[in-house]
Amino acid sequence: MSDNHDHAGPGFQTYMMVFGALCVCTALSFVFNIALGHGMTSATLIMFVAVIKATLVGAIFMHLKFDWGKLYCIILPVCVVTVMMVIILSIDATLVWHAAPDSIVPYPGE
Amino acid sequence: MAHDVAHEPTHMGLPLPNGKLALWLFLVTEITFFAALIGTYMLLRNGQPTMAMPWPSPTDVHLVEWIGALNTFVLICSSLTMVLCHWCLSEAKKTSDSAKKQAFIKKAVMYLAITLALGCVFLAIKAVEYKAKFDHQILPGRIFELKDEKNSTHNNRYVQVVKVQLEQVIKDNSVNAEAMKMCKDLLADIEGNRISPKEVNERVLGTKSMKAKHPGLANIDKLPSTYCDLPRKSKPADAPLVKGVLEVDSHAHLSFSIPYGNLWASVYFAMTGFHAIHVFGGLVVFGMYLISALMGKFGTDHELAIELTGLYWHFVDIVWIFLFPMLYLV
Repeated sequence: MSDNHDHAGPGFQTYMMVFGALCVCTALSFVFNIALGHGMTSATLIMFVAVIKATLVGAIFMHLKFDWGKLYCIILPVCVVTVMMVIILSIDATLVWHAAPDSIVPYPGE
Repeated sequence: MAHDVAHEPTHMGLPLPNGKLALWLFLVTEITFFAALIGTYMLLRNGQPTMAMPWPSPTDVHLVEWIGALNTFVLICSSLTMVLCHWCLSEAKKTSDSAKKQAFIKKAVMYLAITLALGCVFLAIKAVEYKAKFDHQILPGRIFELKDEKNSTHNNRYVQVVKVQLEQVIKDNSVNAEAMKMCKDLLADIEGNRISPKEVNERVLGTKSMKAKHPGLANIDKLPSTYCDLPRKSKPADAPLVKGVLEVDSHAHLSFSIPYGNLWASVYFAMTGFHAIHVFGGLVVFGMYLISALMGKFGTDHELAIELTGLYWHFVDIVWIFLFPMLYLV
């Protein structure tokens, strides 16, 4: 069992590099917030940076880069469900938004 | 305990130790749990609020962006120390030199202790943030949302609360001289019943601040006149600005209207609260390993157990990686 478990994981240097990248990404999202303020552009950029950070932690710190072949059958379905839920909720949120009596966003075609 | 986990046989199917498979199954249920919370937040945030009455900004609800960024940094550091702890145990397992092995195990215990300390720092910072929310009554069901111009029970209660707060501010002499005069004038107007809830809110917050908070105010004439927290009707767009007590002295403890503040507080405490519980759970496990280290029972047999604990801890870190921008920045 022990042999099965052992794998050539990342080394000390790789971990330090990922840590540096995570710090830079955190600073970047802070800079985007200050430079671009609250808006769609900054929100998109900041969430994109968050996805990069989560990918780095998952791939290197959680060893998914090495274990993905064994774990994808568990993780992928959950990711699909999560994305589907966000899409379904987004549609509902948009409909509620348009239905608000004081919405200044016109209906399509108006 | 760790000894048992490390020697579990690998079953047919996935070429993984049982413990690792079980932990990943647990983690995917956690992913759906937090995805549901985050999805609900997105629905509430993008649902009802409009340009005229937007979702509360971080400053409205006393959220400080750099404190959130600091907490993110603390968790990232703890993730690094956790992964280094596991790396040390792996290296200790590989080496046959007894002295080197002991040195690696000692280092692993040190990294584990640092991870525990960083987790405590995270919770301490969160506690400071929560205290600020309690001090300013930014709590579910405790925030005033003046959404109509009627003298409803809710609106009248707001006036009564501000009256009590003004009396306290004047008694404590806790604001500067200009703000003190404004507080006394406002209290006199409330006691003389010469002022509506909407005007009380304006004189606490100031119309300049309100305009800055409401980007949709440029379209004020196009909107139905239902909300009393915006200067309208009696206060046309070119009307002189009303100076607010909080504009003169931001330390004055006076309540003001935060549209959708209660909804914000509910989702904030739900998301950060559940996350904090997960952090606390991780700290308990770290504590157990440190106790076994103190008893001299911590060694290379714990490698898999530490890897599994690390997986959980990194997942908690990933959750915060999404919560931080969504609550503090976006």
